[in-house]
Amino acid sequence: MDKLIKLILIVFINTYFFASSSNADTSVLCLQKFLKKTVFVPGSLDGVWGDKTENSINSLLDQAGMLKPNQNISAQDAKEVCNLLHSSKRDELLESGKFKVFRIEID
Amino acid sequence: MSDNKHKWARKVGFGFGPNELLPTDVESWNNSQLTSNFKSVGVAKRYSDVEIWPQEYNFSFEDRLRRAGEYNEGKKEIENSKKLTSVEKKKRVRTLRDQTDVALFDVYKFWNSAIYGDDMVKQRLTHFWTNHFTVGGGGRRNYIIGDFIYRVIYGNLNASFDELLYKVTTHVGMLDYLDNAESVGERSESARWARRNGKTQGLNDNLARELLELHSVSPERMYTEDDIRNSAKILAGWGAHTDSVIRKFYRERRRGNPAIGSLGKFIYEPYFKDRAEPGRKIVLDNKFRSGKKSLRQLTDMLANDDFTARHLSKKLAIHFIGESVNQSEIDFIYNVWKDSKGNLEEIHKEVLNVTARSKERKFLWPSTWMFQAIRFSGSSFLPGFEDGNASFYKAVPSKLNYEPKKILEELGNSFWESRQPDGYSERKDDWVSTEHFDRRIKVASRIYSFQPDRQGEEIAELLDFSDNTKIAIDKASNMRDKFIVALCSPDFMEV
Amino acid sequence: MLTRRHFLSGTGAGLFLSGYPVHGFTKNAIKGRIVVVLLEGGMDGLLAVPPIGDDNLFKQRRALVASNPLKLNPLFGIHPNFKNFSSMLLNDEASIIHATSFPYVGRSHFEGQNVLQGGMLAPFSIKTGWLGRAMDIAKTAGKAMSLETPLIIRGANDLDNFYPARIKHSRLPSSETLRLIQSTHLNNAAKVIGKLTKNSMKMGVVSQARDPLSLAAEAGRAMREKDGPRVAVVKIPQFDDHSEIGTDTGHHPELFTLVDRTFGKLKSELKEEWKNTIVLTMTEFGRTVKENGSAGTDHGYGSVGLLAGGLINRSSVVANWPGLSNKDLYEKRDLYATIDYRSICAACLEAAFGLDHDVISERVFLDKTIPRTYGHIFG
Repeated sequence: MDKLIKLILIVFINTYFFASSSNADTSVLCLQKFLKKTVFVPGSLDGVWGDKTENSINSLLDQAGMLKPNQNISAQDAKEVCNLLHSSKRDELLESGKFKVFRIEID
Repeated sequence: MSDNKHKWARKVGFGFGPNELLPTDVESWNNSQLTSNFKSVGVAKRYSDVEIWPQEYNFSFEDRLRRAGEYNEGKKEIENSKKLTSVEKKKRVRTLRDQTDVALFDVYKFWNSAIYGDDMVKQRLTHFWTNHFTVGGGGRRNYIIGDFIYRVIYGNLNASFDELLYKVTTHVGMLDYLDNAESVGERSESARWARRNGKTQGLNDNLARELLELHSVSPERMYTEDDIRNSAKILAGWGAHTDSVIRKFYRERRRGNPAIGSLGKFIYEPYFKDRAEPGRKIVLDNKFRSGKKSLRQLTDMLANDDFTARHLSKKLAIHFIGESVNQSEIDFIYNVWKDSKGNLEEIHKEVLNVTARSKERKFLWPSTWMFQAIRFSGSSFLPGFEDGNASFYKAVPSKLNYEPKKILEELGNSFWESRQPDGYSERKDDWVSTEHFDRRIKVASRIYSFQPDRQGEEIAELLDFSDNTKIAIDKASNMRDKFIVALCSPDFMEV
Repeated sequence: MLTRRHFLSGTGAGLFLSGYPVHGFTKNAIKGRIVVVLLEGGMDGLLAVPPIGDDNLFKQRRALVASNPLKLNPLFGIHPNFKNFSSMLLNDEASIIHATSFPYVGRSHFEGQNVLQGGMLAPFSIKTGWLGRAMDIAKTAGKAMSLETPLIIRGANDLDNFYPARIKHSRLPSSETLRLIQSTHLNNAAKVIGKLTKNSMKMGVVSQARDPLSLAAEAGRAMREKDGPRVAVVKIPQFDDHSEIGTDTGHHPELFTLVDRTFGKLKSELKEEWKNTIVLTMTEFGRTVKENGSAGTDHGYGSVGLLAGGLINRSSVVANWPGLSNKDLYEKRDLYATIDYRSICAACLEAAFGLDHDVISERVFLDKTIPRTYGHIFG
């Protein structure tokens, strides 16, 4: 019984925490969950925008040709990107994200 | 038994030529083929009678090493000479090569035995086992392939399979070809020395892998990578490069040591204790202790494994009966293998029995086809061992004498060529291509140029060709073309 | 120094041309050309394209890394012997696939080559090849040029081959005789003999070369023709370096030079058709990460695939890099293959023949689960 109460409490606290966080975090989690389905690994699914998340989402979008030159996605773009990930571009992004493409950078 | 004796002789041998007497009783002929002692035969000159193969062209292992050494040393001397022009040097090296060459004689013996030999069934079996235990040619190894074929394979056709397997696995040629000469136990003295001196030495698992995969139990046995690795550990320490064996042998001789001396026994069982891997090994749940004897124990274990019997019974069946052999035919051979505990004489007898009862057709290797074409038609295609300028042995042979070797290569069926260890294919598909037919037609035409006694129509009659083929032969406008059509028909390419 | 690599040559290098447009349908003929370069013996991908950005490379195979690879990007370099190929990389007409293989882990040459050519996961399970099946679907005819008809293009119609014969003093048969011989045979044999003509049997009618470069030149010249073959398979043997594989120089690096010049030759002979071409290498497996006792490597798993041709959109290295630390290795010894090379072959077929990916995966490879990589290479 004790265990069950503990579990309910944990779940409650977590959802409360996340629900009361800004929209950016849910969007971040949305990005991270999507990235997990690709080879661009986001690190942990913690809803926190860190370096790994930033690198990964930028790499994916760049590889799929959906990034303008010199454009860099950062935390405030999370919601917009999340929408993109659920748009008609979803399949294209998933397909592109299956393999990592390293550009040739010989000078 | 097949009522057409000519067809039978083609199935298990090379056919009966126009000057050969047909045996009255096929069964006793079969038995005598497997058990009699034969002298290798050949012709002295192209149009002479069949004679016994000259003893001076039978080279022992030591002879081969000596001649190879003479070539190596002689070549060096010539090339270092300050008095000769480069053109003169090339000429002398070529002469030296002709005088010391061994492979050329081996190929000649190979041809002569197939075309004139009484022991045709044993020759066919030798071709089969030489292919099964492929030792690829190239460079100095060509000096000892003949030793492998005649002493090891032919010489053990009536022994038990475990004897054959061990002799094959420990032959210098096999150990060299599959890189075991490079293989050194990681905990051996030699490897430890190497590490102390900044070099690397270690195991090479080539031979171990092929020993299990191709030569004995086959992948059906479900052995693991560990089994292969441990087999490699048992094999480590065996073998030396043909080149270095030659050099060592030559050096010993120059020091005045007799041929059978410190190196004598060694060349037959080249084992280096300081390269061996110490400790116990486990292969297929069998334990082996360290030491030289463990290799024999390993090959015995593999030779006696049920899967080896299965694997090789199937291969023998396919080789003589054909691709569409059925399981019951394989089982007959397998049962004799098990009952006789791998006695090759018994097994080969059963192979002949099963082949006799079989209704399948076998698509022959190009070399087999060619030997049969020459033998059966009575064409004097092969130059004799005295042809060329005076004695073949002493003088520079004429260019024609390289033809037998070249033709085997062109047919894609030479045992002196570099090739994969799984050997030549038994599948008809692998030999049916435009280019292969191009070869067959050209060879058939060449055979005709040496006056065969049996023409196309007679061949078709004696071998009971189909009506369709007989019609085609009939339509051909001249005797040469009739001959070519007959030889290049499925009736002759298959049997 | 006699080592195993010599025996794998079989009949040496080989060239196979196939896929001639059917007469009368030239205007519907396929525009793309495919050249498959079969590297027999197992190419060492880590030596060819070293992952210089991976620290474990030097820890795991210190003695087998070239001293001055050309740096392609922070993670990958390429062996300096790939000169032509490197220029193609700069011109967006080449790409590299790394840590890739057909899903075959048996490490046997014979099984491996059979899987590579047949295109099935189980060795010796099919009598046609993936390229042959693709050509059937794309309705191109075939004409192979070598002493044996390789599995990879079996399945296509009308195969015949070319490999110069050196049997002297043999008289050529009449056309009538050839037809009579043909009449005695059935099925495939009859078809195959039907391709023999008095002309083709003459010595010296086409190039008599047998080395890979000359054969590649032959291929390029033939494929440049409007009515020429759409498919070529070049066989380069002797990659099985169990001992003394080499680093900057040595046997494997010499083979890299040969492969590199083959690419160069193909481009220079294909001329304007290079823009419609894709060349891809295939090898039955890679080699062990660590060296063995003889300064060589044994059979492994993942390797590289080299692609070149005008059909490529942008040069890159495609790799889901598995890493080289001991826990990342397959069976603690081999580079893991994280890309199924069948998907690369499928992409090349899509690019050259215009076939649909689903059609290719279902009817060529008989496997619906093969992912689509077309966009990563040709998109």
